[in-house]
Amino acid sequence: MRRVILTIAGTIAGLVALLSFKSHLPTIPSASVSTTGGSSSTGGSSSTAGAGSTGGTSAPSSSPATVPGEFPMGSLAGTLTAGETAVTGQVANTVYGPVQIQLVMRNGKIVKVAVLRQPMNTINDIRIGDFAFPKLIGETLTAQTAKVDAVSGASYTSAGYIQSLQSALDNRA
Amino acid sequence: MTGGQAGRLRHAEHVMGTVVSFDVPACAGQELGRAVRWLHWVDATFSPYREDSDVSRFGAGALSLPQCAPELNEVLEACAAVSALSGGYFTTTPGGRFDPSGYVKGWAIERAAAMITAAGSAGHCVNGGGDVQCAGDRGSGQPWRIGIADPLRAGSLALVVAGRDFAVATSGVAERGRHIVNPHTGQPATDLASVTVVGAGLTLTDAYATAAFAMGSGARDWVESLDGYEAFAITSRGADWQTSGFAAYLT
Repeated sequence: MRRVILTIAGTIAGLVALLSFKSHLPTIPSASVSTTGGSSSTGGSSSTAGAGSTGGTSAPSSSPATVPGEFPMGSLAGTLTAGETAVTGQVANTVYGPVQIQLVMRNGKIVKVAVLRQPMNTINDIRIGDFAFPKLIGETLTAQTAKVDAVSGASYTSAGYIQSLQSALDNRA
Repeated sequence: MTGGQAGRLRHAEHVMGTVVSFDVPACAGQELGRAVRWLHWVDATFSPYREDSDVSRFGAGALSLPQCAPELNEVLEACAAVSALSGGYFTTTPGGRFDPSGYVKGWAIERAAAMITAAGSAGHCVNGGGDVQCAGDRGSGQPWRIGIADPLRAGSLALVVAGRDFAVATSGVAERGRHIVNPHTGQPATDLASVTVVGAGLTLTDAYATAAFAMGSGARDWVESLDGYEAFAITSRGADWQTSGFAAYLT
C-alpha cells in the first residue's frame, strides 16, 4: 500500500509539474488516503469514470479539445464502492494557482480522477483549468501505461507542447 | 527544464516554433548544449516566421543564394530531390511562399542527434515536436519504444513501434488543424487523419511523411515503393492501413 501511495504521489507531482511548466517544481510531501467506509453520500458532480471509461468508436473530430474521460470536480470519497481507495494529493501551489487532485484506486489501478482545486482566475487560468488540465491527467495516465520513450504525432506548437503526451514523458520522475 | 532518472538527462527546449525533447546519457550534457545551440541557429537561419532569417530574405528576393548560409543551398537541393521523388507532393512553397520547413525540421533534428552520437553516446532520443530520431538503443539492449498519437482520440496512443537507430515521423491534423495542402489542388489534404513513416534517418522520414499526408490514399503504394521506409496511416474515417514491412516495428 505504501508503494501505491508513493506512486500516486508521483503521478500527482508529475501533473503539477506540467502545470508549473517553466517554473520551479512545487513539492508534494505526501498524499492522504481515505478508504471506503459505510457512508454513501453523493460527492462531486458527475460520477462518470475517468481513465477507465470506454469510448467505443470515436467519430472523427476537428476539435482538439477531446478529453479522454471526464474528470469531475469535487471529492469522490463519498462515492467509493467496495475495494476502492481515494488518494488525495496535497494542495500544490503552481504558477497558475493552487491545484489539488484526487485519484480513486482499485486493485492498484487508477479508476477515477477528480479535481478538488484548480485555478479559475484569469482567462489563461480558465484555459488551463477547463481544457489543458483534464487532458493532461488523461495523457499522463496513457503515457505511463504504455511505457513509451517518446510520442510521435502531428507537430505541436510550442504552446501546444504543454498539452502533449511528450510533455508528460519529459516530466516523469 | 532539465531532469531525468539516474544516468539519463532529459531536456525540453523551446525552439523552431515547437519543443524539442532530448533523452540522452547524463554524460552527454556538453553535446546536448551544442545540439541545442545548433537548433537555435537553424531557427534563426531557416525560420519563415522571422523577417531577418536567410529563408525569409531569400524568399523576398533580398538575398541571393550565395549570400545565404551554405546550408540553404544544401537544403534546396535536397528538397528538389524529395519533390521529384514524391511527384510534387512535397513542396518548398506549401502556402504559396517559400518555406522549406517541411524538410528543415527533420534535418535539424537528425543532425542534432548525430552530434550526440559523435560524442560517444550509445543511445539517445530526440523528439522535435512529434518527429523522433532514435540513436542506438535505450540501454541494456532494449529498443526504443515510440508511441504514435491517435489523431482521432486526443491523449491516446494508436500503437507503439520499437526499434534501434531509427526515425519516426508523423504528419497529421491533430495538433494544428488541417495545415498540409495538396500542392496539386491547393486544397487541404483530407484523406488521412495522420500518417506515420518509419525509416533510418529523420530528414527523409519526416519529408516523406509530409508528402505522404498530402498524397492521401495514394501514399500507401508510394511508401511501399520506397526502399527502407514503412508507413502506418489512420484515415479521416477512422480506418487504418500499413505498408507490408511495417509490422516489423510493432511490439
